[in-house]
Amino acid sequence: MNTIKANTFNEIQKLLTKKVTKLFLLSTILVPVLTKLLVNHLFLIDWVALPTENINFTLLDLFITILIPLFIFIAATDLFTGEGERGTLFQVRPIRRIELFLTKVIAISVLCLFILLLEWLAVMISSAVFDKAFDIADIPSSVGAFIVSWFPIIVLTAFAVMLALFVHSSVLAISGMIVLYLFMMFIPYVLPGSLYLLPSTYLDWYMQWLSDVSFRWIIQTVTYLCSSFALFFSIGYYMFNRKEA
Amino acid sequence: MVITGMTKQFSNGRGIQNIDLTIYQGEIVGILGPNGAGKTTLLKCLTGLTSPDRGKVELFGIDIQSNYKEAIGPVGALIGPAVAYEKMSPYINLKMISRLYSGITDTDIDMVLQQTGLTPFKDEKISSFSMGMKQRFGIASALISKPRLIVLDEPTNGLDIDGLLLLRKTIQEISKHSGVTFVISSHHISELEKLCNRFCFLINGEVSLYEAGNEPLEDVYVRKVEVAVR
Amino acid sequence: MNKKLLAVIGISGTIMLGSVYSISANTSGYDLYKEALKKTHTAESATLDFNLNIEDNKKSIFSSHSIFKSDSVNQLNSISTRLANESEVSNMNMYKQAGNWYVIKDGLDQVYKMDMSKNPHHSNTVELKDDVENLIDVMTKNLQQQITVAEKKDGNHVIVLDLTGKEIPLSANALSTLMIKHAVMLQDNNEMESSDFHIKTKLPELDHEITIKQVKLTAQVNKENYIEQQTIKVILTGKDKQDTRHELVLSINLNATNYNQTTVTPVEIPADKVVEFNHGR
Repeated sequence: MNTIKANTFNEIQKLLTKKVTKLFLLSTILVPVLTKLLVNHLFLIDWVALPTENINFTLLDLFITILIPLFIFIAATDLFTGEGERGTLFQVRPIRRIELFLTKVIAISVLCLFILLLEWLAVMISSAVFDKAFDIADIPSSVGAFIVSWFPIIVLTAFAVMLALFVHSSVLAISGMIVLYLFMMFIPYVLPGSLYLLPSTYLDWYMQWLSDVSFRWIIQTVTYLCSSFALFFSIGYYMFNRKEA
Repeated sequence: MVITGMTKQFSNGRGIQNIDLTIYQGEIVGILGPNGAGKTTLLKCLTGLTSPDRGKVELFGIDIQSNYKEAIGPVGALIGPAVAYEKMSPYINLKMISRLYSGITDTDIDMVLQQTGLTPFKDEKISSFSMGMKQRFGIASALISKPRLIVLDEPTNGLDIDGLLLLRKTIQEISKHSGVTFVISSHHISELEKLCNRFCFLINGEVSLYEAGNEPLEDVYVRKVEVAVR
Repeated sequence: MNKKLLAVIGISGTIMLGSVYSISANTSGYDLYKEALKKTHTAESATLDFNLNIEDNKKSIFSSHSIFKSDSVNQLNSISTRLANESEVSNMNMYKQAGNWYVIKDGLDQVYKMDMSKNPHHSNTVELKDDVENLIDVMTKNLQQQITVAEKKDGNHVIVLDLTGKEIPLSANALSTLMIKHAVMLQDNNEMESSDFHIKTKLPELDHEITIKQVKLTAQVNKENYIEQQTIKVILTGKDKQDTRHELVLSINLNATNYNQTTVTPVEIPADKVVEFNHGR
């Protein structure tokens, strides 16, 4: 088996064994279903008729700005800082450092995509079951929104991995990342100039794809996402390469 | 396997200097030395876990610095505590390792578990293992890839008598049947004496070699240490 | 190896900063509008033609047409308003002179005087405005990209923000629904004591399934960066207690002309006809 494919598989298997991953996958299904149930069958239906699509995208927002970043932080901490602590990071195996690093990043990203798709499926199915206003014609735009959301998430993964390599303690890594993330969410209110510098700003960029996208804006944001990914990835690899078992 | 002019210096002053060592196919080499002499460092450099400050390591004629993957492919190692994902069973751990190589079947995994006496525990989580059982797993993970060179750092640590006997038997069997090269470090002089046909003393960061002979190994060791101190 | 890696770090970092710079430098319709709004506020005088119309299921239930002349140098304002609902029409004129507002209504022989001295509206500090601006800038970052700008042949810019369905933030939708519910409840309570000045509007009492369908804002900015025309259109749907479906359309059309050239002539207010009227009633 190809080394990259094989080790990506291994890293995913490691993440899937963790209880917290199972919890995330479970909530990916439960949150949309419960929301729909709550909106349609409990107190809310009485007078508010929030558009179904609106709720679907709010659910997406919840995942891409809170739950998936949290998952990324936990996964990056576990695969890098945590394995460093437990001494399982480097082994005498026929795999290059760059392959090891890359496969760990791929594993986290692939699981994020899986969470996104699972959530989309949960949203769509619960929408079809509970919502009166469910419209099949909305499916292309919503699946598109979920998929484009993956790209800023990959960038955030590289960012989290880079941070995980700077610290040696898992507790410090995870708490540091959460604090930093909250900080990134709020700093633009004080310093508006920093807004477009932060990878967290681009997490909900799917909104702009839903309406008329200007070509200029696509070029700019895609350039940002690619270059920031390259930056975080290469700094992360630099740190990873310097580490010794 | 050739080591030339290898030096690795740590910030605390310890380390190994200018080591030249050649090991031939099919040998079982014992590495002896007091604590802190650099045995583990030597083995880590040998397997590419750390890179030396200076010098070169060649395995089967391939430089490990420039061609790590090819050089390390035929190497199995247990250095330090056994490397395992504790939430998983030994079987799954070995399965994951086997994905990184080609041609390792489930039968091979079962055989290695048999060789290390872990078959009854193959589906239990490693986190529930005792120290000795973890060590057995470590040995299993070094053997699983059917390596041509096996590097074991203190393999007898934590092993019970059964484990010790099983390990000795396994090493002798593998060596006899497939001509695998072993490099084993240990404090147990008597254990090494039974297994090895060549010894490498690592004292104060320098090596001296000794072919297995009639003189008890313990005497040789004491003499070497005395020479080094003087 | 390390050198290559450092080169990648350097290059990607530079490109990233470049893209951040270029995104920040985007002159979007949002910025254009913000600038025009600031400029318009500095105008010393202007004539505004203000039209407001509310339709319920395509039938006009309320309309107003006002001409508002403002001269901030001389502290003079005049507004003439025509209000109409389904059956009635009413006209009134308002003047601001000598620091007070005077209201003259058609068919009434009195002049109402409103004391504005207690009005606390002008206490905004510049600093607060900046903070609010930051807040709005960040909160609307996704909406900003949806604002389009078209340049017309005569040099004017047309700025459009058109939001439909899912593009309207959920929070805005929930908030407006709450406000409408609240307004309906207030209307119920205040039925008896409606003011003399205002002509009553029979808004349908929306009860459930209240949704904003569309919000469309357009603005036309002229070469001098003044806002010449501003339109707002909001479409809202909902059902009343009888389960009848209503589509309410609120449209506002504002035309501004004669920037810095409007003169307001003070009117003669016969002192004996002035009646004090408390602001805020």
